Amino acid sequence: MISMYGREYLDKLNRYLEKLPEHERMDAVMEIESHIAEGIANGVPEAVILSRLGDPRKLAKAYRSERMNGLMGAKSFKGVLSIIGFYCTAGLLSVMIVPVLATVAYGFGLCTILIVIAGILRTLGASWINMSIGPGMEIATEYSMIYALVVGAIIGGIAFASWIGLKKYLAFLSERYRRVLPGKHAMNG
Amino acid sequence: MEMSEWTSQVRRGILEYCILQLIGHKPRYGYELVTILDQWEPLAVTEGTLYPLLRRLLKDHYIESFWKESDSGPPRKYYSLTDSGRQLMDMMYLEWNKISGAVEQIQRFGGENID
Repeated sequence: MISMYGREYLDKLNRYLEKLPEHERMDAVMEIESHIAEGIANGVPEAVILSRLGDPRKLAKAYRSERMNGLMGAKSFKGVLSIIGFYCTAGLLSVMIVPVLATVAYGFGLCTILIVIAGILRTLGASWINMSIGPGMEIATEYSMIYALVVGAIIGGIAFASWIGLKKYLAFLSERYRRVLPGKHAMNG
Repeated sequence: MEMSEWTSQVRRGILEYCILQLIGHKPRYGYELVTILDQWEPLAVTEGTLYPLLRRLLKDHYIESFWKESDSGPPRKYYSLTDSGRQLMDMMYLEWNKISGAVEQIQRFGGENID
């Protein structure tokens, strides 16, 4: 049924597929053989079937590259790109955001405590602590605590906001990291 | 980008879905799949694309194969869906509807307010 041209084609395919495991190679060649025979049985000239199958070298190459895709995950190229994108954006962003927010959160937090302590000390008579609204506008000793609490609340508020921001940013970062991590979302990418 | 390149990129994913649908309907063999897909010009597939694609789906355990004698000719290699293949097909079904729905809305309204 299959002519010598068909046999030759299958021989070549078999040779080009030599890198595939023995079982897979035999299965693939048998399937193509079945395909050619099926075409002939349906009255299609063998030459037409062979030309549709194309160069056996190319067919073998397609088998190998599809196999690579299967092994490495179809998204590997895209996956690597998105990881690079992640490190470029998140990395640069973190260099800016994390130190600034952390410094503000902890620095301002510490300042809040110091201001309140200063208020207490000044109320108790530590006159070396200066408190003023503007040049020459000293705060009276008895208002020291109120002043300390107001300023402390403002500074503390900024510290608290920065701390919340930092936490949110870190959570956002972890979430994004999880998403670009390869292999976890192989199917609903 | 050339038109043919765009078409082949779009076609690739859709073809995989169509093959899963065809195999999901009933077990089919390669020659049969080529013949069926040939009926639609945009889905017409060369053997050089189909068989390697089937091999990959097989490798990923979305489909499985078995050889069966035929009355008229040589033994045929049939493919059928596995459970995970059916899951994949169902997910693609939903995804395809979402995508085509979204594209249709954009085509129709060009992103203008559609309320």
